[in-house]
Amino acid sequence: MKHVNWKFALAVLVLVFILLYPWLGASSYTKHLFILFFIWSIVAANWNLMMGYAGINSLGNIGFMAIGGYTAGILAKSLGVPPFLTIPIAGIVTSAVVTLALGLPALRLSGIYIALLTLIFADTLPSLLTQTREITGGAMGLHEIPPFYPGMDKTGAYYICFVFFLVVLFIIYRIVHSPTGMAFVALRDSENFAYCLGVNKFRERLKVFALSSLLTGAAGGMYVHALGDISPTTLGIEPFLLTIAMIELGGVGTFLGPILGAAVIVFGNEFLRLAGTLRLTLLGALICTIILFYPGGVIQLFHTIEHRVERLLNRKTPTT
Amino acid sequence: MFATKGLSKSFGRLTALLNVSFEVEEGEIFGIAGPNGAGKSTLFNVITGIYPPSSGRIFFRGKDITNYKPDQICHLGIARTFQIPTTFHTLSVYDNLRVGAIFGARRPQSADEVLELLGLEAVRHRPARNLDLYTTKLVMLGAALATDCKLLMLDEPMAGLSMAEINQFLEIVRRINQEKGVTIIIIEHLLDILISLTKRMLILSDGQVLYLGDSKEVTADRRVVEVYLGGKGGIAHAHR
Ligand SMILES: Nc1ncnc2c1ncn2[C@@H]1O[C@H](COP(=O)(O)OP(=O)(O)OP(=O)(O)O)[C@@H](O)[C@H]1O
Ligand SMILES: [Mg+2]
Repeated sequence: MKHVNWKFALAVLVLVFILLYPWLGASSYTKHLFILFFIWSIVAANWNLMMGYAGINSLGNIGFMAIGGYTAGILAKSLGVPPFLTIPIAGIVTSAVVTLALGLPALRLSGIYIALLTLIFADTLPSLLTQTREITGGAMGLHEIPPFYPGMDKTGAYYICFVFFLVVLFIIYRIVHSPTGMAFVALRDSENFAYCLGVNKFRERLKVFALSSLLTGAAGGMYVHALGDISPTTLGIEPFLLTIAMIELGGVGTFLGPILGAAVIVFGNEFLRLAGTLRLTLLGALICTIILFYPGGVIQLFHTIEHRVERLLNRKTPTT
Repeated sequence: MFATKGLSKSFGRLTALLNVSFEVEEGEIFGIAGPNGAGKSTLFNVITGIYPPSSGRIFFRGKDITNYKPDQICHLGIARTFQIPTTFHTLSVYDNLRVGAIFGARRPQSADEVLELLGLEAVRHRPARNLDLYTTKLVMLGAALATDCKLLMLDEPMAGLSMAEINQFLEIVRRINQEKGVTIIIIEHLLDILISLTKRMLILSDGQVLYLGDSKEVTADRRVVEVYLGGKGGIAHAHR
């Protein structure tokens, strides 16, 4: 049981640190980074729910986030809807659009064709935004979206996003450890066997689309209220690749993987700004190195360390 | 309790099944044999809804189940295993059984019953990917059983096992049939095993019924001897 306590203690330590961090001399800038980390790890974790757990190779999840972001942004800015309503609405709207317009057709396809369809889905959004320039701001995007509450500072946004981060991770944890999560994994591991054991593969896979897009859309809502703006660049190739990298780097199909990956990418990406134009090259090199030596991602590195520690402990206090 | 009527299946120009009709009675163990490529696995795939039949009908307990989806067929009480050993390799042994129990039987405790019945308690927490062939086959069987099935279809469950394991497995199949009253359809290449295990059997050849009847009389059938046993009882044994 030693390793459980060890991991649990580390997790508590990290959470307590995050909780106290604004009083430990955090600058406005580092608080901003944490906010990005909270939101992007939720996007990555939901993407991982689809790709890692359910084996649905979606490439459109940044699009889900954009739908949520724009929905919340427009509701708050043009109609004055308060954030505690815009965020759930953003989630529900995103889920409805994605499930009906993407999930239903995608489930008639398989493998690479799902990837293509989801990519096209996300790819049509920027041109849709240009077409609807009057309400979405077109290429300029939406700016000065109202914060969570009037006069909000970075510390306020930090805590609100932290709570959102904890709540959504708890929900994902519960999904993964529920019969629904088991069905996702069963269908991924062996579709026909699961099907013949009574798993309704269409319903379960549709649930993946609905849940993942609901939470990703809500994260999009959090994003616009925390940061104040959103534009088609949010849908660009860089955030797309960076989020994929978070999942791959952290560990596909693991609960903590995407969160660790998001931490490495968000903080690493900022740290590497010192390197100027070399930033993305260095980030790419970092990703390649980790994946090369630890194909299971950072989480595998953790397991290796855990094993070493355990063996060390066992050597000191031989059991039996 | 189970019957097919004039079942046919074509893959493009290839006819894998042609006009296959047979009946299985409540509580029996029914055997299916035939050369490689005869259409045995295709028959299972059509019955369990993986492929729709090209023509013909399938009946289970008086109900026409043709064109039902695999999950619906499972809920009616038909479960199956696959010729290629298949498990959910990232899930634990227990969770493999739970998939069948929760989604098939909608009765979670059936996983515990099967765990005990098959003696899998010792490996219950083991990931399914770290199992030997025999245990993998037991887990696949267990997941199917956990659906509370009335009819269990086994596709060459003993292929690749040692003689000792085959005997152990046969023992389990008999127990499932007798103690749980589950009707069984089993595909097996080795005729002598099938003759000792079943009362009646079906032999397929080129997608068509070559023999349907008493297992004891199969080796005396002129056509079976000619086509399947190759005159000297050779081919059926060479499949191992
Ligand atoms: N999905 C498919 N698409 C095309 N052809 C198929 C498909 N499945 C099976 N077949 C063909 O149907 C024929 C029957 O195959 P099937 O697997 O049912 O034989 P079998 O009797 O189970 O043989 P074996 O003893 O080798 O398991 C073969 O010629 C096979 O190639
Ligand atoms: Mg076969």
